[in-house]
Amino acid sequence: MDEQHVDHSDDERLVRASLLAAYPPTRSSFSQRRGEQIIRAAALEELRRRRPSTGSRVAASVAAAFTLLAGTASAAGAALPGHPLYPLKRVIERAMVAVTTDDGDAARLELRFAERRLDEASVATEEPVASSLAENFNQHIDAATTLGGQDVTAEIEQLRRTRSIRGTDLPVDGSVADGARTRRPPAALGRSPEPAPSSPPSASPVPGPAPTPSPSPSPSPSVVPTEEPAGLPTVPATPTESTPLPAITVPVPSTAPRAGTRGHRSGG
Amino acid sequence: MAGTEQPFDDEIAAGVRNGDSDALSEVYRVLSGPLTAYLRSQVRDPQLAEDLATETFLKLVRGCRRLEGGPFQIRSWLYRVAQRNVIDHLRARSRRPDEELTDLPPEEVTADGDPAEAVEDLDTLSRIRAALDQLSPDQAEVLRLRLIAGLSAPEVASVVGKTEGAVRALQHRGVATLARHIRRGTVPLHTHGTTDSMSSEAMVSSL
Repeated sequence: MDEQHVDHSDDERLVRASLLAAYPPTRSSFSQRRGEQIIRAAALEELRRRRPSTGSRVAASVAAAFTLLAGTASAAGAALPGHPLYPLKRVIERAMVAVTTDDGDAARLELRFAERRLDEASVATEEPVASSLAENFNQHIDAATTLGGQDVTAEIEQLRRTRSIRGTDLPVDGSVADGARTRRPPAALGRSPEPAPSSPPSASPVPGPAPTPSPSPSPSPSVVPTEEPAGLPTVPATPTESTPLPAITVPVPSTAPRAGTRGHRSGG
Repeated sequence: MAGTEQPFDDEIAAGVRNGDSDALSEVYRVLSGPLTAYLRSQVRDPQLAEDLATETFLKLVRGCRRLEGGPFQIRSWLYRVAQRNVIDHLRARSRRPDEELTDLPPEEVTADGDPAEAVEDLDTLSRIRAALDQLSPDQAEVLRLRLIAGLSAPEVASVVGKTEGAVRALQHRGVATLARHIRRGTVPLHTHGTTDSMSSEAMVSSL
């Protein structure tokens, strides 16, 4: 071909097709899935890692609190959404995970708490309550997956089946484009829509290739039990309360979170 | 943003800046393919390219809250980090002179019809890879980012630290040279490893 008459757009098409043939931008579905799992797990880990100070303080306080307040903790453990002790129940759950040193035990705890959310959702009558429970259910499942990996796959499947039997077919993984959210019937269990990010993107370029994360404000739990609540009412137990939780060693408050998965706590 | 349409929107970008796992997973889903292809074109070892891609996205997970801007800035940032990972890898490898370059295994041609017909045999693919190594480091890098990764000219300018005009000029000359090599088949296969070593070193020193 006479180079003098070669169309530059032809050159570009040829080169583009050649380079894409030499380096196709496609990957095996296995690599793709594996990578997505790694990134999702790392993002959840990072999210939890960013709240260690609050988490450890809460864990320490709650560890002390529920050691001293066995009776109260039991009452809180039976509380249903809307009850004054319910926030304490969730704080205690987070603390129990935070102070559990074995990842497998922590994963089973997360599953137990996910099951609690199912039980609570089965008696919830208000849509906002059900949505909140659904969101927390998914957080526990995510945390259990991260902590337990393949060891808890069967249990997660069992929970999914339970969830399905109880009247919902919504997925538990909660992808961004989960169009099924709009199909949730009132008070049924499903992941609640996430709020749209409030900050608009700025047009400023990103400085530097290697940013270091800065600490972000940590959400505080609604209740931090630092002293014994006296005269707490007894509330009916949820169905799961009859099943004993795995044995947990509750350290004294000075216990620091271990590196890595120690920070795994599902949000409340 | 001028140039190539972004593969994810402002809402996903906002989620990334907030560290949302769904948003980060979505960015991985749409960008990991092109990013890994770009890395394969740099390091020649598919598994290493996978590892470097994962490392790049993990840095995104750890650094996302420091990011500003939308899809343009996030994608540019990712490729800058990928580029830096390649340079770090090449530097580390240069300190291990006994390590042999890994030859690329044969890959399937997945493009449908049209120009891909011209490049469907493995010899041709190897020649294309060798031809890319014949370009100047700047030209090759611009072609990798523009044509393999699919970045827009402004994004490439942001990644390589040059003006958009300079990027377009490098692309123009690189395309012309590469097209000439491809049409004539003038790049011998046996120069492959040698030129890669040279261009890798040139790349390290030029960045």
